[in-house]
Formats: sequence, C-alpha cells, structure tokens
Amino acid sequence: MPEQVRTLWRSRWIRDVVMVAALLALTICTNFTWAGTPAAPAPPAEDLPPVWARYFQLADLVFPRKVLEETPSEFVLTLRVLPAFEGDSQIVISKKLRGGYTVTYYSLPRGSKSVGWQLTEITVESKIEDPVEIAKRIKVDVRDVDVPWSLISGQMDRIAKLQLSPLEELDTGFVTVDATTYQFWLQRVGDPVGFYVCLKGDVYGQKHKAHPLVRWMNEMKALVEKYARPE
Amino acid sequence: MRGSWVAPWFGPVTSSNAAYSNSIPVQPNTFAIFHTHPNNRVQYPSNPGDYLYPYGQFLPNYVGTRSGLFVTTPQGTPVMLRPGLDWTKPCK
Repeated sequence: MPEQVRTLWRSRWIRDVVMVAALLALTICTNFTWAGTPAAPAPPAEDLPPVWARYFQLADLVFPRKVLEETPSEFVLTLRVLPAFEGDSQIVISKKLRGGYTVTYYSLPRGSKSVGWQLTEITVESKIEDPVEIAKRIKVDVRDVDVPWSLISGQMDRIAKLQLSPLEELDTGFVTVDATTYQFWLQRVGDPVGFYVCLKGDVYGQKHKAHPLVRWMNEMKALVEKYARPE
Repeated sequence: MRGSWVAPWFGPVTSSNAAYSNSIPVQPNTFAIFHTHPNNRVQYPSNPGDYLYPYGQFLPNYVGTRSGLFVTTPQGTPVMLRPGLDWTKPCK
C-alpha cells in the first residue's frame, strides 16, 4: 500500500468515511449518478454529456475549491448542493491539524436564481456559452462560519457511522426532472487519494426518502446556515 | 410517452409529489417525457436538471411554460416548439 494511502488509512475517521464513500461508489444510477472517482477534482468530462460537463465546469468556477490546496488540514470535506431553481451553496469543512474545524460557506445572494437557471437564461437570451464568461456574471457570497465544535463534531460522528447498502439506491427506473444535484468530496491536502460522489434527486418534500448521504448533507447545510445568518 | 414516434402511447405516471421537482418512472421504451414549470420558475428546461439520460441514453424532455413549449436537445440548447401558451391549444 502506498505511504500516502497508509497514512490516510491510520485515521479512523477518514477510514470510515472512505469506506462509506467506497460503498457509495457502488450506488450508481439514481437517474444520473457518477461516483467513486479516485481523485477528488471534478468528474472526468469525457464521461459526461456535454450539457452536464459544462454545468459542472461552471459550478467549479462559481464555487471554487482551490482552498483545498491552500489550507493545511487533516482532511477537507466539500459539500455542494445545486438545486434546479434556487439556493445553490457550497460548504467547505477543514479539520485543522491541531484540532478544530474551519467552515467556509459559499452561497448565492438571497433571492438569486440558481446557477443552472442563470446558465440557461444567459445561454438562451445572451447567446453566451463560455462557462468562464457566464461565471463572471454570477455573484457569490463567501464567509467563514463559526459553528460550535461540538455540533460539527457530532455531524462528523454521524457520517462516520452511516451504514449504506451498495444496492440501496440502485434504481434506473426513474428520472427526476428539475432535480437537485449533490456533490460530495473528501480530500486530504497534498494527497492524490480522495473521493467524489455525485447524487441527484428530489430535494423538497422528500427528505425522509432521500439518500442517507443527502440527508446528512442537508442537515449539515442547515446547521451551517443557522450560524451563517447575518447579524 | 412510450412506444415509438410512429405509434406512441401516452399514459399517466405516478408522481413523487415533491415540490419543484418530480421523479417519473421510465421504461426502456419511454421515448420522451413532458412536464411543466410554474410561472415563478425558469421558463425554459432547467439546465442541466431537465437533460435526462436514463439507461445511458438521451431522453427528449418537453417542458411547457407560459413562455412556450420547449424540448431539450443533446447539445444542451432548448428548442422552442410553440410560443407562449399556444401549446395548450390543439394542433390545427
């Protein structure tokens, strides 16, 4: 086993999360799910239809993840939620080397249309198709959020204990229109080993039926947003 | 819509009853689907959420809004088939 992998594996929490991610990697295809790419950056574009590849390129521009390369951390989790119509956000949680967490919250300004909505309108009405140019027109609020350690730690304990069947979400018999896309990255700075999972499905009114990881992401999002409210 | 363009079968489907999104059952012979967007949402097919690939194949998705009837294309650009609410009237 390579040294980097061994080092990663020594952390019980990381190991548990990796196991969860590995299981999730097998839960492919809730309509459209990519999972289990060994390196955390965006999914390989060649595997995606052009419309999805362009959308993820735009999402990476609007919600940059370069902070992962700049923050000396034990690990970094990135949770990105992309609804069809409104409320796109990204949460980056870094476990500091000396303990504690840093939480950064990216969100569109209140009342903004979703990234996908703006992508559609700009493409159709302004005939601009370059994601770089489109990203320049989308405003994003970025703020560090001071979430109590005990609450973050509690959520981390929960995800480490998630029990997921590899076949639980295997269902190719449905499509979801206007779905919300959930992207989950686990990365260790400077380490090529990481996991990326992407799930897609209903978000509103279906919380009890949602994928366990999606439920966990929704809970973490609610927690961070509670402490991210302006004074 | 199931079967083929030559001999289509239009049938009701179950709904997931979620607000602002919906899971629709499809079968290998489903060749298109249709849904609507409310007035306070995007007036085109949502991007990329309405671009569907069940069974790994592109599935045309017809979206009716007050701005018109649109259909998705694999290129990612929606095509307007009927303007405004004209699509709610029978074809002449």
